[in-house]
Amino acid sequence: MPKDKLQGTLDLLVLQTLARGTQHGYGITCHILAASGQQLRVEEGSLYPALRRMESAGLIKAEWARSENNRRARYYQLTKKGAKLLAEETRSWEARIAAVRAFLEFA
Amino acid sequence: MFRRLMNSLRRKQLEAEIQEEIEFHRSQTAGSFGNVTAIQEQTRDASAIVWLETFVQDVRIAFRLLRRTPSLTGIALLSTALSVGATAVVFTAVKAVLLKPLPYSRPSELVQLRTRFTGAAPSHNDWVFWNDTQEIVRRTRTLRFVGIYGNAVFDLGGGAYPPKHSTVFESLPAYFPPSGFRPC
Repeated sequence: MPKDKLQGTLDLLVLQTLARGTQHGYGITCHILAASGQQLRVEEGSLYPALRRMESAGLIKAEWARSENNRRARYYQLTKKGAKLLAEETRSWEARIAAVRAFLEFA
Repeated sequence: MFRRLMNSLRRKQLEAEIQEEIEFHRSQTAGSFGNVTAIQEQTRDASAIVWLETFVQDVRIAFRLLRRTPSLTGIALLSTALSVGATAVVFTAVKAVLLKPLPYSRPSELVQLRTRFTGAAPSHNDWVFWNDTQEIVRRTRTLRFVGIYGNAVFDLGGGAYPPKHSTVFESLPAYFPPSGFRPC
């Protein structure tokens, strides 16, 4: 999928990924790629600024921990505020999809 | 916002953290990776208050340039100081004279009585004959309280000519009411 179509949905993807548990940046890109059937490739240049921005906004929090291969990695975790926003964003995304579908199917 | 401020203050540590985080990412991927420096910078800018940092840089450049031309800086500082001082003085006066209400309970209802003599030009003198003041105190229905003040000139002696004197403002307390109205 082209990069510009991901704009605005990146937060949703990250929040949804973290709703499954804490994860580091690399793990987030892997999950998004796998769960989208290799369709959504998040670029590092978008991901890390977005993570910092969301951290500043209090949607996620981060701490350093050991990764699976025993290296220090920064693990991100959903906050209450983030979980609330995820629910809202999911609803609004579905409403938008439904609206566009209804429009396209209008005969 | 607070986190961003802290990040701006501990800039070195933040940059090291971001570098480590992105190094970790890179170590995990076999494939190509974007421009590492650019990604680090973008991430850093998203974490800190960029305008604050550039503002601090601008201030430092300004100080450096000012130090290079001390005489111009001196003149600029002096004129700024003078104009600030002058403004403060003027405003203090305006505030005291025009803006601040008089220290009475209902300053807008305060009036000053003067004597005007028929046939004479209007005068700014504020004096009223003593007997007239007594009449006003006795017969007024408009004024709730009447206060009377007067000037007295005391000769300070010493035999000098013209005599040394002191002008005294004296008010007559009997005519000021017990509360709600105080002469200044």
